Amino acid sequence: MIGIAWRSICNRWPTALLAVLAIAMSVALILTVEKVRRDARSSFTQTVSGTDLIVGARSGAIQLLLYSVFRIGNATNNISWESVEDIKNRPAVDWLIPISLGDSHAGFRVVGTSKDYFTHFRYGDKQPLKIAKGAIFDDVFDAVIGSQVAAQLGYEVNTPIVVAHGTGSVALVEHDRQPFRVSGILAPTGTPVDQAVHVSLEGIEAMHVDWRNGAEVKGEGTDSDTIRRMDLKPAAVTALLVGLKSRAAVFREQRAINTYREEPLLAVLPGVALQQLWNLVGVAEKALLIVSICVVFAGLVNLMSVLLAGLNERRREMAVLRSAGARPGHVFLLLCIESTVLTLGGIIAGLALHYVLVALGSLFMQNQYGITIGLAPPDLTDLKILLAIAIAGLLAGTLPALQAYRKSLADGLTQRL
Amino acid sequence: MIKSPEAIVQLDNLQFIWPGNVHATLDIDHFSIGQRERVFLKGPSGSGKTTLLSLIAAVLSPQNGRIVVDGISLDTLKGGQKDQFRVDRIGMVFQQFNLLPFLSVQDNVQLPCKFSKQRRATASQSHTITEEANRLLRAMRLPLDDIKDRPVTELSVGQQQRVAVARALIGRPPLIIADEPTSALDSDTRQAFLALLFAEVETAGSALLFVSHDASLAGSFDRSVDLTDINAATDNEHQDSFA
Ligand SMILES: Nc1ncnc2c1ncn2[C@@H]1O[C@H](COP(=O)(O)OP(=O)(O)OP(=O)(O)O)[C@@H](O)[C@H]1O
Ligand SMILES: [Mg+2]
Repeated sequence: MIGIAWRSICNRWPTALLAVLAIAMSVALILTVEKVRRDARSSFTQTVSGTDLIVGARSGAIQLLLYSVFRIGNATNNISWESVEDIKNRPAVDWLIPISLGDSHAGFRVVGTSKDYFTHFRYGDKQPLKIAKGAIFDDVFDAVIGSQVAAQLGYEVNTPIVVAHGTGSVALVEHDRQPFRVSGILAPTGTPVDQAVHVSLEGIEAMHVDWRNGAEVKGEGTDSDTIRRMDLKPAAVTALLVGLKSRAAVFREQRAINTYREEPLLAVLPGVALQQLWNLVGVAEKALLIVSICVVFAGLVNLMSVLLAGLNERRREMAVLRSAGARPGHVFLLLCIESTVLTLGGIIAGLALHYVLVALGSLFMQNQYGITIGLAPPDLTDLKILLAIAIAGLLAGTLPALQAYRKSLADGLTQRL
Repeated sequence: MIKSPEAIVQLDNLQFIWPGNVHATLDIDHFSIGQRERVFLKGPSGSGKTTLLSLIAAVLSPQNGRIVVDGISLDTLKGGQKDQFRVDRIGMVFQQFNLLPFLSVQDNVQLPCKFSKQRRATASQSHTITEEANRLLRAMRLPLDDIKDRPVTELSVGQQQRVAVARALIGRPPLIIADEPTSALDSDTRQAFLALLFAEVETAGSALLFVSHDASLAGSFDRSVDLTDINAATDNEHQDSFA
């Protein structure tokens, strides 16, 4: 019976292929959407850990989270250095990582920060950053680059680099008179850290010495040693990551910073801001999920219509089978086997397509956002989705099968065209 | 119940009404076919010839009366048993579209052996089923090497009908039912087809119930029956005027 069913499918391969393709695409779509959703979440959640407060100029919590941690978008305002000192001197504050953004190197963001970044920053499950090669920056013109930067640009320790003003992937104006040098390369983290060029806050100041109000000062330019002797205390930073001595103080500190008199500041709890982000993204996610479910539904309707459309032309096949001793049950089974084979074929092809999409997509996501999407075997949710599709496929096949069964009984031996 | 050893088919007081119809399609007092007898059944279109064949093949069940085929009273059979009965004892040839397009010529011929142990056993008595199928195809004058592996849809209508006869005959069922198997053939092929059919029915020792509009074929049969003569229900308006 299976042999007959199989050859019957092969005989109808163009329609069968279309049915399989429709199911495959819907399976691939829903799996990929699910995966991107979950991986993006876990990747985002993994990006920062161990930080109690993120502080920036007053704007939206989500915006602050996005530019300070995920390096998406830009800050509208800075925090003055006096405010930074004030926060640092609060008794509850244990450590503080300043972050200064706004420059780029070959499309990668330049992050001005302090050495505290390498001692206190945590990602994933409270993992610290590790230096894979070289050392943390020591000199004004030292840079510590993320693993992706090193891999994509082919940089090694001691490679001289030139930093550009602005953050587009096309360098606007290059600060080419003050070449930096790669002092260290970080181990991969799977977070936006891999995409960043880290320099000291003094380094950020140094590259702007010959720049005033965004325009280059004419002349020879200041040489490196003169700059090193200059006072390079930063005037402002973009954001702060703050660690507290005790987590219990977090709400009090948050309130204190939010009501800071000298300057409008905003402090957010990373977890709370992430939650807000999810609420925002959740709407889009739901819409995407509904669309995927509709596509799956369309795939199944297509399967059903393929089977139903085939039914009329098959009524005489049914009559022949019946005349050769096939029972109504056989006829029923034949169609059920067909729809099962088509559904399973669709699911397998869909899985394959899904992995191709994920493989391509993960390259893109890694390059663009530093978000890691791994190739993993289908997990429980995926299996549930696949099972649901398989069952729906079988049900979709049962209706035409029942139809064929009824017709094969009612037609007698009359051959209908 | 009296089993009549001479008759392969025996109908008594048969009445059949299609569901939804007001008038009976068939009302036959008595009709029988002897062992190895070749019967020609004619009648105008819509007179119920195909319906009668369906009843004999236990595809349909009569509202009244009794049908005995090869000693088996059909009303004693239940669902699956009817299918088994049909494939065990009856070989069938239709007007056209006899073959499954997705099976090879070989597999089409062997199809009844897939469902019937009895016919499988008979077909493999002296050699394998494949050889028996080949023998029948050759007996039907089919260029075996040429068509064996070709899709059945590439065969001519006459060739398809001969393949169908080979399938009906495989495993030597005691009764062959043919519902207008020649209507799609031209008159020359028709005669040749009939000759081959007769020869193989003879060899198999089967009885033959052959339905056709073409009265010119009737001469070569043992007996010719007009359905309107035996069917008391034919004088209703169900008959079409064209035949
Ligand atoms: N499936 C069906 N449901 C209801 N009525 C039917 C069905 N099949 C046939 N009939 C009716 O039964 C009558 C006899 O039909 P049948 O097919 O047996 O005629 P026939 O003698 O074989 O005709 P033809 O020579 O054209 O093949 C017709 O009036 C037809 O309308
Ligand atoms: Mg008919």
